[in-house]
Amino acid sequence: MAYEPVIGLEVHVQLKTVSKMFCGCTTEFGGAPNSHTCPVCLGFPGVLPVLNKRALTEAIRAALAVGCKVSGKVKFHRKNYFYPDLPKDYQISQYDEPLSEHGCLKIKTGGAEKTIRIKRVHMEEDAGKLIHEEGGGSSFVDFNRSGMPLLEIVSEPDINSPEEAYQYLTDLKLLLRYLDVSDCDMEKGSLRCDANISIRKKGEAGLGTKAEVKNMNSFKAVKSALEFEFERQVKCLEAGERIIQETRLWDPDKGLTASMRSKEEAHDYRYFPEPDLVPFALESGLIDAERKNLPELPEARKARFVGALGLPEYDAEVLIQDKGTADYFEECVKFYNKPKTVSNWLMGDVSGYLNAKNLSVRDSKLKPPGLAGLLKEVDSGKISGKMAKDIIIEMLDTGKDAGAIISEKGLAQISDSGELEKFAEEAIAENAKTAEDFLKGKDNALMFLVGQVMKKTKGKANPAAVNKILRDKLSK
Amino acid sequence: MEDKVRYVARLARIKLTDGEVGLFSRQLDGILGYVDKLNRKLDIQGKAPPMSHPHEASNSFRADEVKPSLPPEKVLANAPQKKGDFFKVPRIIEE
Ligand SMILES: [Zn+2]
Repeated sequence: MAYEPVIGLEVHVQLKTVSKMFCGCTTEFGGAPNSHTCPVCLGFPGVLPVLNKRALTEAIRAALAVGCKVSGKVKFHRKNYFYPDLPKDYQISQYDEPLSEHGCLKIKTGGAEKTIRIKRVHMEEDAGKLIHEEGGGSSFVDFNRSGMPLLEIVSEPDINSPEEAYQYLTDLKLLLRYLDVSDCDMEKGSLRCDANISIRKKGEAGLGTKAEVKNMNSFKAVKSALEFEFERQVKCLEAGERIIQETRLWDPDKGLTASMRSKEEAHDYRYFPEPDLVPFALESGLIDAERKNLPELPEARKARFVGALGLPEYDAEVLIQDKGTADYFEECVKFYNKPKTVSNWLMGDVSGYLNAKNLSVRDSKLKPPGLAGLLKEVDSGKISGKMAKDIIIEMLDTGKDAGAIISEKGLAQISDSGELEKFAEEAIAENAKTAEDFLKGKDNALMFLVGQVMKKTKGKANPAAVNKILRDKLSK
Repeated sequence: MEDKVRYVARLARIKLTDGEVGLFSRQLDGILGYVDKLNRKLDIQGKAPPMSHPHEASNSFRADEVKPSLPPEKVLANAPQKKGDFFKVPRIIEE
C-alpha cells in the first residue's frame, strides 16, 4: 500500500527592524552576550512593553502578500512556559485573534502548480539563546535575541512531499525578500522552520497522528528530515506500530530524527490576554495603504519579464530568484534595450565571475551603464563577442568602462577595409595553393585564409569583414 | 477542584501544602460559583463581547528607534550565577 506524507510548515522569520519588538534595544546580529538587553527584554518586574510600529506594518505587508485577510484589531496573548531562555516565563504572542488568516502561496514543483493554504500569519517575540557547556552541568544564556520581532507563518497541511516543502520555503523566502521585511538568513537565525508531518494511505482524506520535527538549519535539512521522517512513519505502520504524537529533533550528522522526550504538560500554555498591551484598533486606511504600497512580487515580475520584455520563461525564472539581480537586469535594459542579450551576459559571464568570488551583483564593480556600454561596442563591431568576454572580466575586476579598456589595450577590432585589404592580399600571396583550392570550390579553404589574417592582426580583425574582403579579392 | 489546583500549581512551579490545596480549592469554588451565578442570571449572550482589557483600546506605539541598552554589569547585577557575560543556569538538555 502506498503512503503519502501530509506536511504543514511553521516558519518564523525575524522582521527587519532596527530595534526590538517591545523595547529600544538594537536588533543587530552578534555583539557581546547580553549587551543588547534592557529591563524590558530581560523581563524585569514592572516594565511595560510598547509595540514597535514598523514591526506591525511589516507584518501587515507580509500577511497581505500571502493573500491573508488582515484583522482590524491586533491583540496579544501571553504564552506561559518555563525555560531558561524565556526571562518573563511567558512569551508575548498572538492566540485566538491573530493578525491575519486564510492566505495562500502558489508553488511549482515538477512543472505542476499547487496552492498551499496559509492558516495564519501572526506576530510574536523571540526568546534568548542557550549555549550548553561542553561536558559540564551548566547552560549559558544570552538574551540579545530576546524580544526580537518575529512573524510566524503557519501553513495548512497541504504539502505532500519533501520537495513541495522545499519549494514552499524557497518561494516564501523569495516573497519575503521582495517585500524587504526580513533577511531570511537561516544561518543568522532570521528564518527558522518547524515541520508537522503525518502519513496516510494515498487517496485517503483523513489525517494521521503527526510528529513535530525541529532543529533543521537549512531548507535542504528540512527536505532530508522530512524524507527520513516519512520513511520512519511508513516502517512504523507497516510493522503494526502506532505513531506517537511527539517532538523529534533532526540530527544532521547522523541523518535521522530522534524523539525529544518532553513532558506532556509542557504543552499547556495557559494563554491569556496580555494585560500590558491594550488591543490595537488599526486606523482605517492603514491596511489599504500597505496593500497599495506592496512592491511588484516575484510571480508578477516573472510574467512581465516574459510578456513585456520577451524573455524565455527559463531566463525570467532565473533572474527573479534574486531581487538584486532582477533589479540590475532591469537597469541594464534601460541603457541597452535588448533584454535577451543582457540576460545571456548576466546569467553567463557575469554570474560565473560573481559566484566564483562569492559577490552579489549589487557589490560588483560592473554597473549597469558599464555592461550596456560594452554590449554597444559589440553591436557597433568595434570589438568581437569573444573580445568582450575578456573585457568584461577586467570591467568586473576594476570597474573601468569598456571604452577605456579597449583603447588602453589597443583592443579595437580592425574593421577598416584599407588596412584589412593589405593583410588579405598578403595572406593570399603567401598561401597561393589554398587560394586556388578555394577557387576550385573548396569552401573551407577560405576559413584558413581568414585564420591567417586574424593571426597577422593578432586577433583584432573583424572576422566578418575579413571574410568578405577575401571573397571579393579571390573572385576578381 | 483539588486536582485542578494541584495541576495549575505544578504548571506554575508553585509548591503547595495539602492544607493550601484545600484552602485555595474552597476559595476558587466560591469565586467560580459566583461567576456561574452571574452566568445563569444574566443573559448577555450576543449583547456584550468578551472583554480582555478594562479600558477602551487606545493604540500606543513606539517608533522603530534604537535606545541604549543596559551596561553589562547592570544586566548581570542580580544574576544568581554568571559566567563571563552570560547568565549561568543548570544544564537544560539531557543527552
Ligand atoms: Zn531591550
